[in-house]
Amino acid sequence: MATSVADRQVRISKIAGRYLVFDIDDVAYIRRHHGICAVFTGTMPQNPTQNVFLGLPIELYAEEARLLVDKKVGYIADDANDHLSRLKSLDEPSRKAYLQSLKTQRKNAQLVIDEARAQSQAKHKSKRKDKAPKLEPSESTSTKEDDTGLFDATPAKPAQVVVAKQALPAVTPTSTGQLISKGDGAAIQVPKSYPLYAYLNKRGYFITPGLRFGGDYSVYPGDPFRYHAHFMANSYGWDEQIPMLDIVTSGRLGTSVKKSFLMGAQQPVDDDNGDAAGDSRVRVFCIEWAGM
Amino acid sequence: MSLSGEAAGEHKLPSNGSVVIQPAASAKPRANQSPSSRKSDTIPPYKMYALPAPIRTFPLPSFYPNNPLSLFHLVYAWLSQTFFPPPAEPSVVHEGTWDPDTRSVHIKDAKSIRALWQQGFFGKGSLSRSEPNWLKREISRRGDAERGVVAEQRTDARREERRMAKWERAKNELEAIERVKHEEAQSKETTAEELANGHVESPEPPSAQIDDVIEMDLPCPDLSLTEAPPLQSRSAIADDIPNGHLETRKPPVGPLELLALPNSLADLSSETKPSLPESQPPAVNGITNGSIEGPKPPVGPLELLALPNSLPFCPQPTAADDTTESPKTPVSPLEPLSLPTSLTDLTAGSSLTQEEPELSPTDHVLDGHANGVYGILNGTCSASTPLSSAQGSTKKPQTNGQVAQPLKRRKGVRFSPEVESTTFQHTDPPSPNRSPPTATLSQGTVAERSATEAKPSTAGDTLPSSLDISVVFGELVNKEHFQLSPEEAFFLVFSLGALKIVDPVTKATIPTEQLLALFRSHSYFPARTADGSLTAGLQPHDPFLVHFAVYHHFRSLGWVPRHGIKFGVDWLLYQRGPVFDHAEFGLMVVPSFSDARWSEYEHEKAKRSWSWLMGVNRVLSHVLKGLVLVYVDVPPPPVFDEAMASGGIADALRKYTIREVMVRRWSSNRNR
Repeated sequence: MATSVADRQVRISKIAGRYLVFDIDDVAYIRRHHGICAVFTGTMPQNPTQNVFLGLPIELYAEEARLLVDKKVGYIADDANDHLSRLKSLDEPSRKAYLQSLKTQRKNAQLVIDEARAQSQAKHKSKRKDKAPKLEPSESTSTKEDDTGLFDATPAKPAQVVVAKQALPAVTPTSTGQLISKGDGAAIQVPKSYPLYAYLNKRGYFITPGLRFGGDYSVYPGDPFRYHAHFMANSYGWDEQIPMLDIVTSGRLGTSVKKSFLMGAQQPVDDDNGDAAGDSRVRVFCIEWAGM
Repeated sequence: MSLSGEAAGEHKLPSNGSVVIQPAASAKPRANQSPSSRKSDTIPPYKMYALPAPIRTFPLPSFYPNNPLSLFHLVYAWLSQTFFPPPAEPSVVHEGTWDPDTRSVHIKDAKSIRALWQQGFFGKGSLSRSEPNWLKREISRRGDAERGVVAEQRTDARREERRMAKWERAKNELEAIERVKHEEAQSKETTAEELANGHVESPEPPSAQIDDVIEMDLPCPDLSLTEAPPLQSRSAIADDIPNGHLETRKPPVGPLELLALPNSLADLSSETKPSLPESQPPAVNGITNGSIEGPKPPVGPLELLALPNSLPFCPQPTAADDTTESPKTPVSPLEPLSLPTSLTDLTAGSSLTQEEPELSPTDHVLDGHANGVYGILNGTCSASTPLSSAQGSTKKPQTNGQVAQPLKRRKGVRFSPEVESTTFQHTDPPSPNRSPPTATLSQGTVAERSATEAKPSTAGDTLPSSLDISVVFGELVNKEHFQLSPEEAFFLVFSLGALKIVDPVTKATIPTEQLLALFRSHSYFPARTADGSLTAGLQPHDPFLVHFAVYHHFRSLGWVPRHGIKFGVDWLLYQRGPVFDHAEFGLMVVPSFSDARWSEYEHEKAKRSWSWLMGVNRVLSHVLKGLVLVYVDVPPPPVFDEAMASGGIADALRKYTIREVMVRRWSSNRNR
């Protein structure tokens, strides 16, 4: 919650075709302000074998990612694709800037390491003092000389440490950083039910995948922590013929789980009516079984 | 095995399709018969439905070497069949009329209907769920109990029973809790008198509280208790004890109490408005309710609301006496909820108290309706006061009331903005303007009459409909016909030969080839019968052909396939038939175009989604059926056409192959 709500940009990492959010603050933000709760997919560190309650990251499905990007509160970070293509197409100054940024990153890492080392040394020192005051002086001098040791804080192998002397630590960047392109939402392939999703989301409904109820979405009137789903939503084409059996199935199922079956469709754009806000062209209907 | 259709059907209804019912006179002699003799008339289902298809077989009796006599039996049977051969099967060819509008084959002849239903469970009644028993239902609905009960009534009764059991269970649980609370509360009390003194002035807070909860404008009942009691001070004191409990009570929080609250504001106002002007006499209502042991327990928590309908039928004086006689009615903590009734009644009716005896039953009814919300609470807590002294005396009228009026159900869904009635009976017509000729009308109890009068919406129709009964009782015409789906009809025509189908216009029998083309073209919507030629846009993967292949397959294996639209599947498979057991499987038919040559021809693409599969599977597993995906390998057009040309329909159908895949959801968490 460091950044203010207004200018928060949610980083949606696209990894292997899935849209993931790793930052817990982002997760809380989109849940609170955009009605997107998505699905937790990670394991819990405390209990990695159980599979009922999952942890970070959350996986957004395409509609949610698209919605966030369309609302300009998030961007897609597709590192794997972007990295090479961006690096190749860089011009000289930005290339230098990028290298410089890498260098600062390494320096920062060095600082952190140094700090950590100093702390552990101090600890060691105090310990050794208590235990064996004889050995202490020689050890401390050697470590003081090569204070640029790689990642190991313990001075167990003095020879190696000497080799790595003066070199900044090698850093493997996990991301292309600010080089990354903030792709537009059009790149996200959304299913045909996206207009219905956007329509419902705009009206404050929380939406989770509805596969287990045999629909596209299950629709909650508020946060799913507080409510049961009220609707089981299915999206159809505007002129699509809906099989009777589907209506029976959905109506029956919806009623037996105490939801009402909602179906919606978006009217296709007419030539004369070039209305960009697709939301207004969505119509939804509810079906309830009255006799059960 | 020799049970023929006619013999089996004899005992049901006369075959001419209309039945004459003689109400009183002729019903008597039949009533004199002992029930056992009537029982012997009915054929057990395994006999009635012995034939799996409308074809009889005549197997020779088996020969037992250790019983030489069986040889004679065998020889006799063989000889008799050789010299007097039974008629060629199918000996009876039924006649049906093709109806393009409903895409089904209609059968009007009652004999045929019975035969087709009892021998293989073909078709369904147009006004019934499956078995064509509209006439029977109608007769039993009109009160001719001699005709026996129909399956639907048994189903209703069973459901009723189940609801009742659930209600009973919930009631017992609640009772246990209440009892504990009551004991605790009593241990705190010093004397009843003291309490009464302490609380006469302060009944307001609890009632106000409850008013808040249900958000209605009841007249403020604060002065009621101080004014009303003079007449029946004893009862007032009795009344106050609950109040004592009341004050310590929280607003209704338990599930039962919450359910008992009115559903909506509209609901409430519609119920209370009529009641206020002619409100019922004093606290009597609340207290009788409180002290009477719950009548017949209402059906479910929601239908608890309907309870007070039966209450009004207890004769007023008795109720009043009861209240005065039972000063120390043990009070359940739930009583608080019933308080508003008594309070409001008191305010409204305190002036009425003298007129109490003259109140007509109608008023009761009205009030019962109006106070439905409260009455139900009363009912609940009443059930929890087993110690009540008034119990014994009030029991009788209560049960009378019960008999007089069948239980009313609470409506769950309302589509109309104006709610005419919030309760209904199963026999009620869908339109509220048509009053049902209830069976109980003949009993002519005051309660029944008043009940109908009490409902203004139906009041106008009550008279005509009651007249109606006596008039219509003369002759009842069977309005129902029998429908065969195209697959069933074609199976009967083509595979068994037990049916011929006539054209609705020319009345000429449709030959089988033409019939197939007709059914195929009508399996599309709209039917592909353009430009006169029937075979215009027909393909080997016509829905009819694919479905018929499946139907034929499972029929031949001895299953009874029936249309499964009610469960959202294509077919339901019964092992013996709907009369005997529930369907075991639901079939979804999936045409499969696995033949390589299909790539050259256009065909519909598979468009089933995962969510579809999950939905269907879930629906079926709710009703404890297995989902079977039936893949039908459709032959490519040249193969099909060639087979059709050379060997006719049978050869063409032979080209279809059927694969069954049973699908079951398996979750590692659940199925451990």
